[in-house]
Parts: sequence; structure tokens; C-alpha cells
Amino acid sequence: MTRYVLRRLALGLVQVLVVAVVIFLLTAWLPGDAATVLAGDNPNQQAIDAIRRQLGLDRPLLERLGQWLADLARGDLGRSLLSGRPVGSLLVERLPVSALLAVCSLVMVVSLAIGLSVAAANREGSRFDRALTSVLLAVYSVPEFVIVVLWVAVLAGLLGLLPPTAVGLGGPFTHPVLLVLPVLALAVRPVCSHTRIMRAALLEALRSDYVAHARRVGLAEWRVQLTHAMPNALAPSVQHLARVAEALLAGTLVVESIYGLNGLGSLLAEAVARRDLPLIQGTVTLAAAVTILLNLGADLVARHLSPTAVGGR
Amino acid sequence: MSPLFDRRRSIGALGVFGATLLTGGCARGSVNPTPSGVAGQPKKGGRLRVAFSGAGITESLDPRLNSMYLDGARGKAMFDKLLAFGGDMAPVGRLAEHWEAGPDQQVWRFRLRQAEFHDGRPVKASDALDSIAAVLSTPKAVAAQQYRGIDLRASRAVEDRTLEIRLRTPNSEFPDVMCSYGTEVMPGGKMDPAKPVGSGPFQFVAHRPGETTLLSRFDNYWEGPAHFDELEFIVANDAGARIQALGAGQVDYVDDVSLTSARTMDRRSDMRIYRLPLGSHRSFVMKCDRPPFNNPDVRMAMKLLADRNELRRAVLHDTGRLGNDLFGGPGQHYFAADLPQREMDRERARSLLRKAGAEGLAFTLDTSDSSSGMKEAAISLADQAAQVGVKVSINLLGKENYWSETLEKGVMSSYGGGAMPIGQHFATRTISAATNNYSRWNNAEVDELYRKVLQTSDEDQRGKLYHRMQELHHAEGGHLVWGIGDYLVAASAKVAGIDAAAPTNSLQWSRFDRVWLNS
Repeated sequence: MTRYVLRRLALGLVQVLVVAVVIFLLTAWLPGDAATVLAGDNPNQQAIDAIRRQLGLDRPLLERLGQWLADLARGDLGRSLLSGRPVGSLLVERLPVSALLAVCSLVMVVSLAIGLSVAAANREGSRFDRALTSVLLAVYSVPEFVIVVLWVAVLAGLLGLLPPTAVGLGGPFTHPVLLVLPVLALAVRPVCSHTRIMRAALLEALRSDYVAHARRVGLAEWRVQLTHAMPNALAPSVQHLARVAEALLAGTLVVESIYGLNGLGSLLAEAVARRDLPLIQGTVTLAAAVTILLNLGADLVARHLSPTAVGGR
Repeated sequence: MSPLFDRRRSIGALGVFGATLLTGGCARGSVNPTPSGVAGQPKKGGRLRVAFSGAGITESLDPRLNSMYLDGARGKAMFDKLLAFGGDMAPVGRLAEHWEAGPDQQVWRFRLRQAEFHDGRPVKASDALDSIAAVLSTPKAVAAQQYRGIDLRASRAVEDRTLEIRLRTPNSEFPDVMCSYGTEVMPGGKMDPAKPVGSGPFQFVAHRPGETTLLSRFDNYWEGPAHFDELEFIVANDAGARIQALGAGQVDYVDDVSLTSARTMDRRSDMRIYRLPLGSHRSFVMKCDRPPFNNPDVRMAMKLLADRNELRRAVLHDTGRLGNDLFGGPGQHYFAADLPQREMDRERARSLLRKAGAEGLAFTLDTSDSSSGMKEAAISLADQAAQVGVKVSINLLGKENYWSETLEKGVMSSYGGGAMPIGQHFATRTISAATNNYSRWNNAEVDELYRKVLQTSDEDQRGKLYHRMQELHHAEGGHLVWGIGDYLVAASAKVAGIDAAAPTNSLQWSRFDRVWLNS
């Protein structure tokens, strides 16, 4: 197991580096850079060149990439081009909001998905099951940015139950009510996908020989489901949960920006808009590392729950 | 991004020149005009929460480094400049109570008023000089270009309250430079980002980049203390989120409101929309140094085929004014209001195109979502051009680098900018040496007239020179200015004292020390 974990971690490190290099090159090839952003609508070449020199953007691309990688090896993510602040501390400032948003969304996804999938799987083919499946499919087809706008329109605009935006209210740590709309927006699609996967896994487990055997020996139905069917159903769904977490990370980029929350998502959006390369690099590297760790964690949990289902990856 | 020119630094985007009207060097209007939207007796206390678009986490409290409207508004809350633009975009005194030029327009003396920094130190001429030096040593500082005409070594603090600035070349418009973005005076020219000290009406309390800045009233402000105890700047880049926050009572004042939001919000009794004049000129710019627009007849044909009324209806929702292919607008000092309004005349446009051998003309118009309505205006103009047989293809560019992409390339592009003095429009956009001469117009007569402007101290004479320059620009220039949009801000109905007549970038715009809450 230790060798497996070490191998995955080493592979993950390579993946993070590849992602970082690709993002560096792609961002560098985008038209414009931080100097043109700073020059604004006063973009005469002399001014842009002076700013470029001051920001060190006149150095060759590969030299800057090499420097960035060398700094990264020392745990230094560099400094934001435009604010001059260390990227690491900017990430630390913005991480808590995104993490809180992701964790709350994940809790909502897991609890709703388990409840709904158990209810549907035990009523397979019923009117409830068919209605739920149709609704989940329909809702899943709506993108996050539409969902968040709809939630805001209904819950904040029409009913006046929640603040329509976080602007002027600070963050979710001081005003927890600010979490409700973003979490609802972020969780809706993952609830749909995760419920469908869990329902299918549960159905397969409930039809299995070991569940039939448990029932034959007279175990109570709740015990059959909880201790025999559920663990086996959870194995594939835990791996899917890692995908859900990745989707949540991506979703925060849109939801935070629309709702006015200051998290990693809105940070990345700002960094891209202003071509702040070190900040983009730092944020993407962190996101890549989290994604890889989540997948590794999910695989390990799945192996633990059902060693045969996961195989020897 | 929000409606027109979220970062309307236009004021900060100039050369070393400027436009103004200093007669023989006398301080012109050191008394600030009274706000026109004032209602009732001012009340003390409370916190005013104002929402602006900002540079996000990359923003800096140092107003010398950025030129978004947030930086302008926050800068004037915490700091002071020597001068500022009045409602007609001519300089009025701030820290400088008097200013004058020597006979050669090359040496300027500023007499500072008695004022103090938030830490109790008096504001001295040496602080102003150090602040200029700090900007000159920082290429990315907004005012670095404006200051390049200053001979720093030959400039000096004559005494504690007298500053002498020597220029490399004569410039009768130099006071405009000292009104521009990024010219704030700081103690010793330095700013500690952890605890900035200025001489403005509010002093620093706390700051979270990209989120909020909290300030408190400075009771020793030279112009008298502000009405509010506290002022909080809240950064919200989404225009919709800003107006929603105002509607929900989460903020009290919102900068940069879209025309669509304004139409909706106009019906609400709990908030007011303010339409600030001269907010932005809406235009297209043709490059005069290359075909097809190196032919003045083709440029004039484009100006004549445009249906300005339709553009104003479609893009400005019937607000603002029609443009007359000139920068600035009525009420602005030196504006040539007597030049006849250019009307649509498609027959003449066809005839000019025939004369130029440009029938069936086809070209690409670069545009962007950089400002609201820009792309829509471009599409509308393309439709109008098609009616006289001109084929215009729209090329949508990214907004992040739109301005740098269109400075050199292409033949025609969407253009626009905020309020600034007529002279600065010429200095930065129209003379052949202008840093932002998007039109590549090279008119020897205009260049010569502007050279004379800079050397003459007589205001009437300068007025005549500017008038002639505007005549030439109107007749031959590369700008099709079809509209002058209002700049919209909104506030809770409880907020009083907002000057609804103050153009953006002028002194009374975003003067949060002069407003109060009525409840």
C-alpha cells in the first residue's frame, strides 16, 4: 500500500508540474500581458516597454519559467506582478472561503445523494423513481451560472429570503447566510449526478448474491442495506465524489464571481483578466495539487471499502 | 465589465501637456463650486458604504499606481493633489491656493495652503516635490508620462509652502498635469502600504485588497471635516451585483450603473440615479495614415452616413447628447459649441465616395466588449454603412488588450473616453506627437497651433487657437464622435449632497466628504 501511495504521489507531482508548465506557456501566448493591462487605454509602446522592464517581463520566456520552477522547488510561488504581494499569502487569504464553500457543498451533495438514492433504489421502477430520474436528468443539464442566477432571482429577488449578493456584507465567516445561495448553486448538479450513480450502484448491490444471502439468513433489512449493500455501492461513488470535488473547484470560479465572494475562484478570474502570470500559476498549481490529492484519497477509500472493485491501480 | 470605461483614466492618460486657462498665472477659482444636488441641512455621523469596480486582489491603496475610478475616488478621500479639475474641467486649487508661471511658461510656482497630514505633520513644498520624484522613478506610476517634461534637478522647494517646478519646454497647460490621476502629495513622497498617511478628509483604518477599505473622518482636514464618521469602499466588479447590493440596502452608493439597470431602478423610490454629464465620448476612430481613410473625403463620408440619432437611441437609450466629431461637450471650457451639428447626409456621403473612387468600399471595424455599448454601436454603424453600399466587417477583440491592439493596427476601431480638458484631448489624441493618437492624424497646422497654445499665457488667445484647432478636427480629423454619454451612479434616497452636475474625474465627483445620510 505504501509503495502504491508513493508511486501515485510521484506521478501526481509530475502531473502538477506538467499542468504548471502548460498553463505558463498558454498564458504567455495569450495576447497582451500585465504591462498592457497596466498601461490601460494609454498603451503607447514606450510606456508598455518601461512597465515590462520593471515587471521583468522583458526576460526570455524560458528563463522566467526556469526561475519560477526553481522558486517552486523551494516552496516559493513568487510574487503577484500587479500587487507585488507573495502569491502564497494571497492563496492563503482566499483559500478559506473556497474551502468552506466546497466542504458545505460536498456535505450537501453526499447527504442528499445518499437519501435520494436509497429512496429511489428501494422503489425501483415506481412512479417516484421514474419522476426523480427525469428531474435529476433535466436539472443536470442546466449550467451553474444559470442556476445561480435563477436562485438569486427567486430566493433573493422574488421572495426576499436571502441577500442577492455578498457585496457589502463581508464574507461567509461573518455572515453564514451568504453560503446558502452559492452552496445551492454549486450542489445542484453534483447532487443529480451523484444520486444517479449511487442509485445504480445500490441497485446492483441489492441484486447481488451476498445481499440475497444476507436476506436468506434472516438479517434485518436495514442491516442488510447498511452493512452489506451500502459499502459496496459506496466504492464507485467515492471515486465519483472526487470528480464532484473537482467540479466544485471549477464551479467556484463562476459562482464566487457572480455572487461577489472573495475566494480562490474569483482570485483566478481576476488573475487571468489582468494577466498576472505568477498568480495564475500559483492558483492553478494549487488546484491541480488538490485535484490529484482528492483522487488519490478517493482511490484509497474505495480500496478500503471494496478492494476487489477498485483493482490494483 | 461595466458601462463605459470602468477605468476611466483618460485623465491619467496624457502627455506632459494639458489644457487650462491660467491667465498670466493667476489661480483660477480656488473656491470649490457648491454641489448642485444638495438637499437639506447636512447631518453628522454614520458610515457611508460605496461600491466600485476595482482591480481585485491586485489593487493597491497607492493612488499613484492605478487609474480606475475606484483609485480616483479613494485617492481623493485619503490624499490631496495640488490642483483638481473643476466642473468645466479647468483647474481649481486644492493644496495649492495660488499658482503662476514665469513669462516663459517654463517655470511654475505653487503656493501651498496650510494643511496637515493625518499624522500631524504639516504639508510642505518638499513633500510635493518628493512625490513628483517618486512618480518619476516608478515607470508604472500613472503620472510618470505626464511628469516627463519636469526638470526635477532644477525644481525646488523654495520655502516650506512654495514649490517651484521647472519644465524642459514651455507649457502654459502644466496645471492640468497637476490635476491628473496619480499626482497625490504624500509625506516625503512615500506611502506605507500598511498605514498610508495623506492629507485628505478621511484617514486609513483597514484595507483588504480587492474587498474593502475602511476610512475614518480626519477632523483637521483643511477644508473642514467630513459629515460621515466612516467611509467604506467596497470592491464589486460585477455591475449587476453592485446595483443589487444597493437595492438590498447592503451599500449606500454605487458607481457605474448600466443604462438598463437605471431604467429599472428609476421606478424605485428608495434610490436615485444620478446622470453625470460629459461622462464619456462615444466614437469611432479612423486611421488617417493608411487607405481607405488617408483620403479626407472617405473620412467625411463615414461621418455623414452615420445616423447619430439612431446610435444614441440604440446605445444610449436616448440619454446623453449627440456628438459632433469633437471631444468634450457643451459647458466645457474652450469647447467649440458654435460649430454646426453634423447631420446625416447619405447622398453627400455617396457622392464623396464616388469622388474618392471608393464606391463599394469594404473594411474591417475593430471593436470589443471593453465598454458597454461599444460592440452594439459598431454593429449599428455597419448596418448604416451598408445602406450606402459600404461593407463593414466587425472584428471583435478581447477587452484586456483592446487598447494596445488598436493603437497601431487596423483601419477603424471603436473608441471612447471620459471627461478631460479640451487641451488634453488634443495633447493626447490629436496632435501628431500625441501618445494616444489612434487616428494617426498628422496635421501640421494643428501641431503648430498647439505649440502656440503652450507658449501663450493669454487665455483669450488660447481660446481662439483652440477654436481653430477644433474647426480643423471637426472638418478633417479621424474621429467620428457620435455621442456623449452620461455617466451613471446610484445612491440610496437617504444619501444627500451628491453633486449631479460634476463630470467624472472632476473635483466634486465622488466627494464623499461632502455628502451625508438624511435618516
